[in-house]
Amino acid sequence: MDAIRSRLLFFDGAMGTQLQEAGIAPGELPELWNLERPEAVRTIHERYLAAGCDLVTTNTFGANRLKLGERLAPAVEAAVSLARAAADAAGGKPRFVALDLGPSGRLLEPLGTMAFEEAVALFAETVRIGTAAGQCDCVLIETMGDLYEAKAAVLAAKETCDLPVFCTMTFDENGKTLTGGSAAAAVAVLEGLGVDCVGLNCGLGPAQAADVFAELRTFASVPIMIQPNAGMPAVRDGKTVYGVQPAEFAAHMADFARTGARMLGGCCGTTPAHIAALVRACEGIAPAPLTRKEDTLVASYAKCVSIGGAPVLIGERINPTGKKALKEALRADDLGLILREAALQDDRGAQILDVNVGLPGIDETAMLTRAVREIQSVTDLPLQLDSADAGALAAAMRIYNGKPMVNSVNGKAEVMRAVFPHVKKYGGVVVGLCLDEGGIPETPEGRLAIARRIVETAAQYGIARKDIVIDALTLTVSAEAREAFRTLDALSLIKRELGVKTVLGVSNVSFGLPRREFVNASFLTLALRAGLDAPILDPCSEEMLRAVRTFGVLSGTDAQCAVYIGAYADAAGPAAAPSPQPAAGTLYEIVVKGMRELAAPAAEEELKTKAPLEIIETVLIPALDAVGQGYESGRLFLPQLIMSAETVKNAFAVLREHMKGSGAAAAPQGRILLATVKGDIHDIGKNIVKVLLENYGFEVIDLGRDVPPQAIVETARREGIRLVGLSALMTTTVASMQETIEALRAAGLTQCCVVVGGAVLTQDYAERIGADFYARDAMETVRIAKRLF
Amino acid sequence: MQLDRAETLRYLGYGTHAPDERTDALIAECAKELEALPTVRHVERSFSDLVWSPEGVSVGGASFASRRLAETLSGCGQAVVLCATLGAAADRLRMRYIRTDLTKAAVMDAAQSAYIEQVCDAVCADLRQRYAPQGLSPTPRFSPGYGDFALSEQPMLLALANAPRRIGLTCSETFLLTPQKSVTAIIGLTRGTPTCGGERCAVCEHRELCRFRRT
Repeated sequence: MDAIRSRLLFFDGAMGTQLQEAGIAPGELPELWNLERPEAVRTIHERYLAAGCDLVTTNTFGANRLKLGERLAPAVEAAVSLARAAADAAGGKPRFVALDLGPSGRLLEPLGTMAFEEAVALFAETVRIGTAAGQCDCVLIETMGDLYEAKAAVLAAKETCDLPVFCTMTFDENGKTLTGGSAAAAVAVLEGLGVDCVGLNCGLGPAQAADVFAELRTFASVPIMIQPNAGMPAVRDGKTVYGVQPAEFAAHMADFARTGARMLGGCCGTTPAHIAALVRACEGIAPAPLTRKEDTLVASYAKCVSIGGAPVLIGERINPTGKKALKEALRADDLGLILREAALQDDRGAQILDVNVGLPGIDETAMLTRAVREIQSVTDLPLQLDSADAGALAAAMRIYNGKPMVNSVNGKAEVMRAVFPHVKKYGGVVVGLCLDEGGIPETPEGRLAIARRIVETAAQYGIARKDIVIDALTLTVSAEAREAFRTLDALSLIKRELGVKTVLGVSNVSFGLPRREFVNASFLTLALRAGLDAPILDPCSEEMLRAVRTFGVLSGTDAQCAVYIGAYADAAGPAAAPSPQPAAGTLYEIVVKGMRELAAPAAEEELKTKAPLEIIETVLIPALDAVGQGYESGRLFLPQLIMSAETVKNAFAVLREHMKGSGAAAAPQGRILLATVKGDIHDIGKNIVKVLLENYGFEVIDLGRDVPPQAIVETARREGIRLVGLSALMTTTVASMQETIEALRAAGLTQCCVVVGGAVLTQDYAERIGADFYARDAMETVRIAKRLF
Repeated sequence: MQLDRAETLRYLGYGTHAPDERTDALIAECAKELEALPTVRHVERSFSDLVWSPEGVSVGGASFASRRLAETLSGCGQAVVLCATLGAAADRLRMRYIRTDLTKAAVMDAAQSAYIEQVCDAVCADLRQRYAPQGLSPTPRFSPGYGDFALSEQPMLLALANAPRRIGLTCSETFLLTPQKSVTAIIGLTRGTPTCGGERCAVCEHRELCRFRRT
């Protein structure tokens, strides 16, 4: 397949449309025709080959175990044989067979219920069967609407066979994939995974595909493939038709060929006539030369950030070092605080988020992968995976949805050996620290030498310079007076000599000094002038943001000073939290009115005259009871109930701090396990129940959504749980509820009671499935818990 | 398309009560976010090969064992399969608020339920307009989960409209539509007035116990 480097290659057209012409019914599985109507499939291949295509794609678009079950292997083997036989018989020029993989038909977590590794295994099985006989020349992963699923498929192909892997995605008229990814993000992720060609197929006609094609061309270093539909679908006489005729189709495609497309074909609505016209129109067109793009791209599933233009802000707040609250949250296995920090930094303008969950005594691999998954369900910012544990980094890189920044490697041979292979396999922009076995060099030249070694070693692994960002290391200026300028000199030198992008955590510089933010902000300004591309900073710090914005003005990168003016033109200054209105009243009133932002100051006020436990018993609980009654009597409604619950939660945070200080912690009323059962991913209701239970002093262990019965049983047993709350919102998942209850009984957990809730349940049904209690709503759950404990 | 606030309030359990100021403000915020959603999509496909049987009706060669569906479609020469979704972006909004602002999450959940129904209503209104010249009018839409139309029919309905490929709408092994704020439905096209007996709440078998009834 070296052909792809040197000439244009033509793919076949639509298989689906041709099968419909041959009489396939809607809903009938095309892959089964490989077994039941092989001559029809072979004929279609032959027609496309006669039209002049170089590659035929096997009729395996939807071939996976979920759809075909036991017939998967025979169907795929037959598909490959048919394509191979047709290709071999075609003559004229070498013909190739591409093993075709389409989407699995399921959405991956967290949007759906399929786990990433499940998807990888699913695709790997099809690739294994399809390539076993050595009859395929490449693997084509196409019509992907979700970058995460594309990643799963590419990894599956690369881990299962050695064939070239091509991947094309489907974009809509806004230039985005179904799950919101841009073409730039697609290129970043797919090239990072090592595909041999990227592109687009389906979704758009040739005219509509121009913009996406242009974006692909801007960023892609590998050859580009384009397989549009024969126009946009229209409904005529109840049938879906694609109106672009072969001549028009071919004219557009020839344009694409002249401007950089290497592999051309057609998708829905295209016929052998379209392909024949395409081949003819492209005769004599020399393939445009491939150019290596040097952009340093980091991506999430949606956003792509390019490092090297305006400064890229990396939010540093998710790091337990020096943060007591974060450490406690991690030890308690509670990601809530981390997720709020992620959302907060996103709101404040961070462009990439650093994620560090390293803490002695916890399983960092498990915690980092879990944190990455959860954070990616809350923000679409790209992440910087930050760990000293190569195993944790590797695991996180694997399941990360996008192309991450990887923090870090350094000059030590064993560290580079441990980390580089994973960066190569999964793709990523790796941060290189200028330290090695000998420590941190004092001179800029010393740091340059380590940086050079990192870049050269990376090259041995096939990692390009554009995917390396060097950290010249910020040390503490109060410890060594010349540290600050030394770092800046090193940074400039490294950037000039090696042509790499640079990153720096600025906060270290001010350690031990008062008003650290002043020093940090000035250092940041100097560093930006010295060539810093990506500062790691606290985006919640006004000082830091001010330094970034003023630099934008002074460096001329803020066009018309628009950003600066937008931020500061309002004479009243930056938006601060609204000052609490003193007339809001007592803590009781604030809870009843659900004024969440006023909870903390009001709680502080109460603490002046009352003990925390007294406040809970005489203020918070009665207020909650009043709101609960109001809700049940139809005077108050759900949003108010939740606002009051969140107000209590905020007040509790203050009281807990106080209680820790005085050593008088309140023992929980009881411990309750909550979960949304297997196969169900609704969780708003469960979360409302959780907040209310915690308000009333219960400790809640929340296992999340789509939880298998065994996980619930194991946790219940291990923690000696006496009350399990199960949530299910569909008639189909109520069965999982029953299964879970039976598993608990079978495990002999006799002291464990089960309360069930969810829109489809009734008292009747709850009894039938063996539950002990049925809770109509969140307040009912609280009452049941109070009665039980 | 503007979010229907009254419907949002209904899904929040307000019935016809007026919301307090802050809930109102939250609804307004959600409305703005929904109206800017980039991933609202739908696909429709019409079929004229309807075959009735004692168990139900087959549309486009796919048999559905639902007598209520058969009733809804009785007298129709054509049926339209409609699949619509607010897309992944809507799910991500909810996921974010569940973690960062639970009150807003509850309001957003209700708002999204209202919005996807509006999207479907708009498609039905469009069908009405498009088929009026032929003397045809659409029946109320009928979805898996209504009456005896089983949820397990989702995959077939999605396949009929080619929804996974066209709009990225799939379903889990428990027949949960993903992305979640989505609707699949069959709509009959009939000459004369639809005979199935009226809209929504009036014909729903849960109307006695439901907290979210329109009246």
